[in-house]
Amino acid sequence: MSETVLTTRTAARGRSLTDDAIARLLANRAATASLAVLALLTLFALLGPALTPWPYDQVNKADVWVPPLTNGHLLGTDALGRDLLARLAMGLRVSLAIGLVATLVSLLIGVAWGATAGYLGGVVDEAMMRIVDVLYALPFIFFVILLMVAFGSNILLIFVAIGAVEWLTMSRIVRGQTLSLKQKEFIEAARAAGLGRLGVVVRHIIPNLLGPVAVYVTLTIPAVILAESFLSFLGLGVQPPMASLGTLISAGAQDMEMAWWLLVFPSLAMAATLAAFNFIGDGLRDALDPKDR
Amino acid sequence: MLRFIARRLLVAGPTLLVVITLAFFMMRAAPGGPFDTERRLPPAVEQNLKARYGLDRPLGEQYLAYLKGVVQGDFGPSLKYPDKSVADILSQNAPVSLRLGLAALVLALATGVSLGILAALRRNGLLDIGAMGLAVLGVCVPTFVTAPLLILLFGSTLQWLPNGGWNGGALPNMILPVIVLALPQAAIISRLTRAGMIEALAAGHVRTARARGLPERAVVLRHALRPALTPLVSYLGPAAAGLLTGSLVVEKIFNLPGLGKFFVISALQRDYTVVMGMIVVYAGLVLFLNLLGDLLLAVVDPRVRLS
Repeated sequence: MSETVLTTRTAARGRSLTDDAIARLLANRAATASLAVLALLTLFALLGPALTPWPYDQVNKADVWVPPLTNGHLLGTDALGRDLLARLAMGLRVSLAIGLVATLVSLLIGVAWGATAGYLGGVVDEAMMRIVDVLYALPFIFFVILLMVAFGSNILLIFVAIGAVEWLTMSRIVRGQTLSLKQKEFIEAARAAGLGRLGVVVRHIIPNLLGPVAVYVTLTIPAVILAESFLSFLGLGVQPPMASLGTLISAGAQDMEMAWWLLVFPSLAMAATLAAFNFIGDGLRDALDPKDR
Repeated sequence: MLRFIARRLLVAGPTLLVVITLAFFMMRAAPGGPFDTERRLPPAVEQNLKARYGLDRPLGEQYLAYLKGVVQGDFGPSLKYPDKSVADILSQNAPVSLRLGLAALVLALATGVSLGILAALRRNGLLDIGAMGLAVLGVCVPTFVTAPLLILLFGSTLQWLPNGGWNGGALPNMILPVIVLALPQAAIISRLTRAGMIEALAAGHVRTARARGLPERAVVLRHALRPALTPLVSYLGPAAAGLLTGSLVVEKIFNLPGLGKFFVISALQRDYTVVMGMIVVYAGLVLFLNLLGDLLLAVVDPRVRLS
């Protein structure tokens, strides 16, 4: 990946570290292509359900297992004659929403936990991180399964369950960053200049945490989408007639001998989504921390 | 070394306790019970059944009784299969999962490590791009997609391999499940190996080895490989956890009589003791492999000090 040379005409204007990072990210072809793919997928998820001629849950007994490009069904229909394009848009919307919301939950818990442990240090830090260690060793997916079985699967619980699982790594990253930031000279300088505790955290610690956290967030979203699909595949996730990528793939796998399109198109959408997030995450990491390459 | 093991075992105890406690109360909070059937049992019969398994006692008492049993190595009887104990069910189904998991681990290591090394040696070459493309594919295409696709291709269409079933662990029945299970791990292992190898090849001692005129083969295999593979050793625990998770899906799709298939069914049937037994075994396995990984890391890499 070659660095782009920015020719600045107005020589007086300086370049911030953020400008540098953005320039590096845009120079990364895989990442920019992924951004475009993701934008298209999001657009499809947001507008698709409104644009398709059939609602995602409309059963049509006359048009069962219609292959793609027939009777006006661009991607064909499923075992109940529902339009796959509409269902795919809906499934993508649900999966993306779960990815975002559950990641937000993990972000909130992880940053609060990690920053507190890192900033307070000492015994509190030790105790909080031991708890994370213990939780880390749990076979978590089994607990999520138990949770779904115990309380029935509703979307809210999926958000919370997956979010609560994914915060552990986030809290470790945030704690490590906070610990090392605390020692930096510019923090000391800010203190010497008379900035209070809260001021140091808000003005200096949090902005410097954003980079690594942003990278981890982009990598958590696909992990969450995957976890939800996994649950849906086992029949414990989103319940019909609602769709997610996982339920679509699961249903497609059951009918694949009769209707290959029901498996292939949702799988492709899933792979494209996961790949896009992973490439953006990798690109973001390279852009924010060029010495790490 | 002994102190390290002792300390880790001290952490393992509370971890297992947390696992058992969480699982126990979560399972009991679930609506319904193991004796729910299509037609409701007469209350007297249900009462007798509950009394027989001690389910009529207060929850706290049951919990302590269960803990006592686990400490003594007794997981209790299955609630759904009256003539079997949890230990029977575990020992009947574990070998299938174990064989699958081990075979997948070996396959993932063999392909992941060799692809990673080759990719690092021909950096940015065709092989590198191909191998890393495969690695991305392995991460982005989950098991529940690869499994049905492979069945569709090699099972239904070409009819080379069976669509599923165990058949006593015959080789044709093993091939597809093992490949599906190994693929995501092979992808991660090849990425780890490639990164480690690139770093190792740039290290000072490798340059020295080259300067002494050693053939490239010896440089790579004798000097670069060992430091390159150390990150892999600490991946052992997470890899095992990944294989366990994957086995839930693979055993369901290929209809294999392993532990993973049993877990979801037992949880849905509220077979409390069987679910608990499996969770304890799974957690113990992951803890053990994490410890083993840390110990191996110290053996392989003298720079790591156990503390």
